[in-house]
Formats: sequence, structure tokens, C-alpha cells
Amino acid sequence: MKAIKNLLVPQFIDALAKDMHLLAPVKKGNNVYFKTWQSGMELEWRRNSFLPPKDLFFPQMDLLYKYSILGQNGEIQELTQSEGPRAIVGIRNCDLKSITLLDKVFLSEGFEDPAYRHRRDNTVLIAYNCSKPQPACFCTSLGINPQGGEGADLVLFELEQEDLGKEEKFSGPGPDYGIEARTPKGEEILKKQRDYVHDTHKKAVPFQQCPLSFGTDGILEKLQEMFEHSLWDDLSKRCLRCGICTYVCPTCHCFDIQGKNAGEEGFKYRCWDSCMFSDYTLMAGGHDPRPTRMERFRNRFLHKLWFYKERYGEFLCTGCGRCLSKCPVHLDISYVAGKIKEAVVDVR
Amino acid sequence: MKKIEEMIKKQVYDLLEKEEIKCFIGFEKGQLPFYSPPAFITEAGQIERLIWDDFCGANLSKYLLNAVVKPGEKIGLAAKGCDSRGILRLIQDNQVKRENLIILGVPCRGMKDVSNLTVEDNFNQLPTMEKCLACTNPNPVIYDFLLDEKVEANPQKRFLKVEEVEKLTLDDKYAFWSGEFEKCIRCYACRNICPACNCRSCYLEQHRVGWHGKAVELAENANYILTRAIHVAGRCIECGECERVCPAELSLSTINKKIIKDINSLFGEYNAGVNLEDKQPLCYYHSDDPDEFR
Repeated sequence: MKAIKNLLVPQFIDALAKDMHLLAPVKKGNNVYFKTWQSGMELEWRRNSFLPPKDLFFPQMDLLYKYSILGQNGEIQELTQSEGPRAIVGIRNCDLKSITLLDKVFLSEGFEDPAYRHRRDNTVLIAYNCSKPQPACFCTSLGINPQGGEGADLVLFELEQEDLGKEEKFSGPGPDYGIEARTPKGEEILKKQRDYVHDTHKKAVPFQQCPLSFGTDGILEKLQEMFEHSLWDDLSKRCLRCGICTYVCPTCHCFDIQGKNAGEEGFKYRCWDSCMFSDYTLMAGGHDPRPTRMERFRNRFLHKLWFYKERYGEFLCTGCGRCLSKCPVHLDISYVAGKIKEAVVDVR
Repeated sequence: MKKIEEMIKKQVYDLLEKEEIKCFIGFEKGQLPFYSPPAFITEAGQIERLIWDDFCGANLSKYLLNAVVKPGEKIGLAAKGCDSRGILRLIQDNQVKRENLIILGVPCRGMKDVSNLTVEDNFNQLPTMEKCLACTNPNPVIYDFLLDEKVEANPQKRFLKVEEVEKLTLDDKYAFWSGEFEKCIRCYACRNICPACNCRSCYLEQHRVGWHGKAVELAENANYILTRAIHVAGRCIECGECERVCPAELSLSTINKKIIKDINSLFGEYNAGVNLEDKQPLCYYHSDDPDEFR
């Protein structure tokens, strides 16, 4: 197996950043963001990013085109991004999975979103396999292997440290990282950076158990009988109807297209939208098919656990735990799924 | 804490059993041992769900805005100092009626901060929330039953951050606030938790009028955050919930506290949501008010 010495990791990333735009998890305040790598930055492995990597393929704010009005005529300038090659380091398996789920939305069923396609094709994914879960993780409940590296070009993982005695373990440089290529793109990078890599017999640190779990068996069938269930009223009472869960979710993908005009010029943009907001389903004539927080709340979970699964064969959740750790009132999908399991359905 | 929990359970059991309240809003144990989310109890049989521990930091008052009660029905809720000031805010703004509420007041010693936990953390040794270290009213200002002895306020950090920012040069202030506003993801959690943000329909969602664009960029973010700050000026009860709920960690209460500090120095000490009879300084004109523009 190939490995990189702990102290060589920043240099390895520096070397990668010479060839392409490199994004890596960096701490800013208490949150971790995928930021453009600059030499001397400090990598943050301990915690997953605040915003999921969906932001890098389907940004919260994406400019589409700008226009100017010239008398009777107008001019339109496309703003479709043509970015050079880039790599994202440190994507965890929950987020890797989310990218494959978003691929189905943006790249399948007869239409390809050009901006998404472009960003997807020019990006190398360098995964980070988890050995330690975070307090709100439950990816294994969704059938995800936190050390699988599926969909990545390259995979990094923590290696077991030699037994140095407890004290030295904490004062030492930290663990070395195993590295494994999964695609030809990954092989190429590994070959090019071979100076940083050595052979090792050390083993990968095994994954500790996720702190949370829930069963998904039969949940879709049960939900199909639960559209009018009183459970939605009870659960949604706690919801603040803010947009946190939808924005930090690696799989939520609703957007709005809006314009901004100033005098003779303006631009159109695509931005994230949230089904929790009261104007989300408001129609031009004033009718709203989801008039209260109950309908909005229900829709979000039905989309995750029913509608998406019916259309694409998988649940629209990867167990990253962001909705639990960021929700101000801790109303997350694992809790809701548990309540759905407990609910008594009156079969008429 | 355990004693308070038992008292809450007993009171709520009696209130529900005698049908004096329709619903009780308190806290229950969440998915993880350090999460205590809000709970809605409607039957005496459910009182075992209720808890009171170090993690009951959320402000419950905003839920009253959406509580549906028929005439004559009452709602009960557990109220720390900040919750009670939120309740007063809603009463003063004519959003709820005092006679429809039964308030179990709980003096508060400060709640624990769970926002940045890692698996290595020992959840028995977490720091106190920043907002609690700035709290001027840990004791409920309005209640029907008081469940513990009153505690002394120690708002050591109340204006600490404000004073820090005040010392910056104009350019540094601009850089600081731009950096903050740029982090905003426009989830509107700060608005939705805020008891002073009690409009039934928010200008932000009136897109056809076009008050506000949806673009997530510095100018629109700043416009949103500052408009909201001005809207709650003189009414902010300093519960610090805006900052607690903010997933992007914006220093939101610094803006509100700066306005409070200015109001205090211009119109005399005023704490919003503490006394129902107090006249709100920004709602009344006095002939001796400062008039710098003359």
C-alpha cells in the first residue's frame, strides 16, 4: 500500500495545487470550509465542512448571463463558467455519495445541466475516509461505507500509528495517511507526485461506530399511507421553518432563477431555494399549495424518503448529520425517520 | 436541575389534568445526550418527556406566535429570563395576551454551548453559551409560578465585542462587517427565532414588490441583516438567539447590542422586554431628546 508521511501532506497538496485549482477543508472561525488552497494553510480533518461540497458544483449563487439595453436593442453575454481543472481534497464518503445523488438530478432523465456538467467533468475528487465519526453522524444507516471511497479518484485515509506510548502519540506529528488511486485520473496524479509517496505495511484505522442509526426498511411503503397522518402536525410544531437544513444538506438541490436590474444593465442568476420558505410554492395568482409549515415540513421529508426514492431508486439522504448538528431545534431526518417507524398507521 | 425538572412535571401534570392549559411548551431529551430541543406537551400522560438540564438554551417564546388557541384556552410554558423577556416582547407588540398564558418561571444559571462539539469533547464539561455570559436578566421578569431561587446577574460580556469593534478604524470596521456579511447563507434562522421579528408577513418574502433580491452576495446580505437590525432596534430583548442559531457564526448580537448601547447613551438606560409599563424610547418623543441634526 502507498502512504504519505504526515508532515509531507501539506507539501503534497502544495504540489497538486501547482497543476490545478485546489480546494481543501480549512477552518474559518469554528466552521470548516472548502477553500482555495494556499501554501501555509492548515488542513482541518477533524470535522466535516459546514457547507457540503454541493456548493462547489451547484453554487448557492451562480451567475447565468448579463445583459445591457442599448436603445431598441439589447446585448446578452453568457456567464457560463469555464473554469480550468480543479481538485477537491478531503471529501468524506457521505458527501461523495451526495454527488452521485445530485448527478442523477442534474445529469440524467434526458437533460444535462451544462454548468453542473462542466464542473463535474473538470474536478478530481480526493476523498478522505473517516475513521472517527462526528457526534451527529449516521451514514451507515443509509448503507454508506464511510471508508468505501466510491466515486472518488483518489482516496486518503488515516493509518494506524506505531505504539509510541500515549504521550508521544499526542506530541508527535500525527498519523501518516494511506493513499489509493481509484480511477485513471487518480493513478496519473499519484504517479506524478510519487516523490511524496512511500510503501507501507501499516493498516488503515478502522471505523468506529456511528453514534446514531435508524432503520429504513419499509419506510417508503409506510410513508405512502401517511400523507394525512397527524404525525406531520406534531413534528412540524417544533420547526422554525428556516432554511438551515436545506442549505447545509448535501443532497437538497432546489433553486430559483432571479434577476437583478440596475438602470440599463442587469444579470440573471440561479440561487439555492428552500422548500421551508413561505414563498417557495406561492403562485402568481396568490394560491399556495403548501400554505403552512406542516405541508412544507412534510414535503421535505417525503422528498427525501419517498419521491426521490421512487424516481431514482435511492433515499435522498447520506447521513452526514449536518441537519442535526446545525438545526437550532435539533429536528433532523434521523429523528423524523424514527418517528415515522413508531407511528401507527390507520389502514382504511 | 433535577429538582426543577420534577417541579415542572408536577405543575404541568396538574395544569393539564385540570384542563387549565391546552398545551405546554418546554424541553425534552433530543437525539443525543447534549441536545434538549423544545417539546409540546398536550396530555398529562406525556409529562415524562419533559426535562430540565444544562442544554435548554433555546428561547421558547417565539412558538407562541404560532400557537393556535381557541378563546378561553391557555398555553403554558417554561421561561428562563430570556424566554420571559421574549414573552413580554410579544405581549407589548400585541401578538399574545397575558391572560392566555401560564408561565413557569425558572431562574437560569446559564446554559451550555453545544455548537462546536467534536467526538473528543466531554459533554459534561462544555463551556457556557456566550449569550448567557452577556445576560442581564437571568430571572424571569414575568411568571405565574417561580420554580427556584432567584440568581444574580453577571453580564460580564454584554458589550465586550461591541467595545472591541468600536475601537477599530473606519476601514477596519468596514472590513470586519463585510467579512461577517459575506458568510451569511440567508437561511433566515435569525429572523425566525427572534421574538422581536413578529411580523406575520415579512418584507423579505414579498418578492413581487421587490423590496429585496434573493442574490446571496455582500450587498444583499448586508441589506438583509441591517434592515432586520433596524427593525428590531429598541425592541431587541438581548436573548442572543440570532447568534446562537446562525449556522455561519455571524456576530449578529454585536449589531443589536451596539444599537442598545447607543440607545442607552442617548435616551437613558432601557432594557426592552423587562417591564410592561416602560415606554419604548424609540416609540415616544420627548422635547429634551438629543437632536444632533439641528
